[in-house]
Amino acid sequence: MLTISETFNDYASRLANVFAASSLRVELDNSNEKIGYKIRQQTLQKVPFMLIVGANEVESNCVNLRLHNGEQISFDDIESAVDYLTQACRPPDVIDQQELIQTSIQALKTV
Amino acid sequence: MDIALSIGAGLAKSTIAGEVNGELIDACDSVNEDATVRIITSRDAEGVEIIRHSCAHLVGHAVKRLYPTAQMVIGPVIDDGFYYDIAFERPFTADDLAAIEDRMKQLIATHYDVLKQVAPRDTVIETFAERQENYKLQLVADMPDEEQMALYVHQEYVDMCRGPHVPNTRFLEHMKLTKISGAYWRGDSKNEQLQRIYGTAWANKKELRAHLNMLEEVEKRDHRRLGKKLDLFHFHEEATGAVFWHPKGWTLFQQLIEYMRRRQQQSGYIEVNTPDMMERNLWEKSGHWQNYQEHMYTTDTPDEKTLALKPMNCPGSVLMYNHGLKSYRDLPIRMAEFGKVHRYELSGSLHGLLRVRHFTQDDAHIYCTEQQMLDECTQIIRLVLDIYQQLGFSDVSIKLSTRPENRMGDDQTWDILEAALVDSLKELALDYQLNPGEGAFYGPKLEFVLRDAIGRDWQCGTLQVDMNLPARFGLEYVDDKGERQTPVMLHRALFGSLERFTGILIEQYTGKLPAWLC
Ligand SMILES: [Zn+2]
Repeated sequence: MLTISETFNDYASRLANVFAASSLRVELDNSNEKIGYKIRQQTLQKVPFMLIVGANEVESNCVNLRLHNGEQISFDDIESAVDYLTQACRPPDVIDQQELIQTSIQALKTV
Repeated sequence: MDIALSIGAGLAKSTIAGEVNGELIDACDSVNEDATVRIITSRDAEGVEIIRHSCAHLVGHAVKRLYPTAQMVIGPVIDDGFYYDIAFERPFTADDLAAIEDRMKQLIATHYDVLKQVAPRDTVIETFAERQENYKLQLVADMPDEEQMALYVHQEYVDMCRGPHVPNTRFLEHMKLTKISGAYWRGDSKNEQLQRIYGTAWANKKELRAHLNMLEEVEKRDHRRLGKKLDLFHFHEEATGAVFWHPKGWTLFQQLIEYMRRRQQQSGYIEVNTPDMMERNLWEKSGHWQNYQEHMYTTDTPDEKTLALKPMNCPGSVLMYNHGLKSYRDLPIRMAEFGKVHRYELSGSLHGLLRVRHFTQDDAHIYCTEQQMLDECTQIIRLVLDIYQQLGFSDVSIKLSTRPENRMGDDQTWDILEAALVDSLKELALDYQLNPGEGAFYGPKLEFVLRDAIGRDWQCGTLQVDMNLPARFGLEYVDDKGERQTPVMLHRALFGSLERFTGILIEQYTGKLPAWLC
């Protein structure tokens, strides 16, 4: 999680706690550096997801996510961002297991 | 050369050497009897090897021109290239390497002929004495029975060699020097330190380019470099061969363990933990004390006991099995342990995370009846392949090692054990490579080899059938008739060493690991 300026540090750290409480591994960079520099640093560190926190985010509780390849995804609320990241960080066995469960439930419905 | 010329001028031009009755000879050598002759060009594997070997000589030629006081030692061919060991008063730098390569290119461009001279021993000694090539003189002294030796003359530079070599330097165009490292005279660290110059050479530009790209790719993926850059782990000279895991690296490591733990729980395994240090009599009973002691860390305690850090988890697992009488209804017991093992290895053989002295195995021992063995093997193979697939490795090959010359147990038992492995592979319709006689003395073995994103092979998982430990430790279970029987013991590790597997994953993904491992 990267803050655009120190003004947003308090909001960012509370938001980071939400993600941490959702069992996501989150690290907050609330340093005084420019956002461009922070993104470059984290890209070099091959961090898979970057959450940028600025005025927009604080005002409307939206979440802007930047993927390692530069692609950006916007969420209207915090819950959908947590959901998205929780899905995206599932280990491969959990994904397979969940698909298996889904198929089994579908099969039961057609019995 | 005349034979090639009699076939055609084009062939003669590309002739590097010849093969006469299966033996390689120089292009200038003559064939004096009826023989099967093959002309070797750069299109033959032998031709490329000769090019590499001649490139090593050319290193000598260039080095002696640039640094006349250097002494040449040995310059053999290796996989994809060559090296030359050199004694010189100061360490070579990257600039030196570039200068040597430049000079080699200049020498190649002059297209000079490489001449062969078979000289009597005295002349050889005289030649090298005059040139103050003391190492070459020692090498000559190592071969007291050789009456005459082949000298290859590269203009003013002379090297001694079995050959064959290219007839002209124009064949050596597609070469590059790659690195400098340290070496020791006769490979012994008690001897003088030498410098080793490595290079690569190919038949054409395209192959050289492809190889250099591969080297670049390997360098880019080097987990030691990435470990530093991404702040994953480091090593310390106070703990040679042991990993200091940083938070992100440790997360990766722990996620792999958690993953394996879930997979094992879902596959009917139980997880245990056994002591790191156990007493000498246990290691004597297991045979490690007699056969593996040079790799073991031992200590004497004030109460006059000798203990050893475990180099393997098996003896601890066996003690765990033996705790309480087992019935056939308890079997199979699939007992897993993330056990940290300690094996002293020579410091020269250590390599980042890939080869360490202290590592964690995703070890499990399966105790079952002979009837259950086939099914257990099938399940393990299915599990291992599924796990590799989920972690991004879909190209996996399997090797089967069968009964060696020196072995325990009768042939009938070996038939059953080998059949269990073969039949389980058949049941899953899997191909395998047979390594006859390569099994352990106590049982046959499967090895699983992963091919990574750039085509390198890594041996990771193993499945081994064992009839030694159950007998040595008197393992038993009570069968359905109330009789005592010896169970079969399977050893299996799927990642092998977690440290090593982590290194392989870092290289596979060039550090850009899937989100669940970050
Ligand atoms: Zn074992």
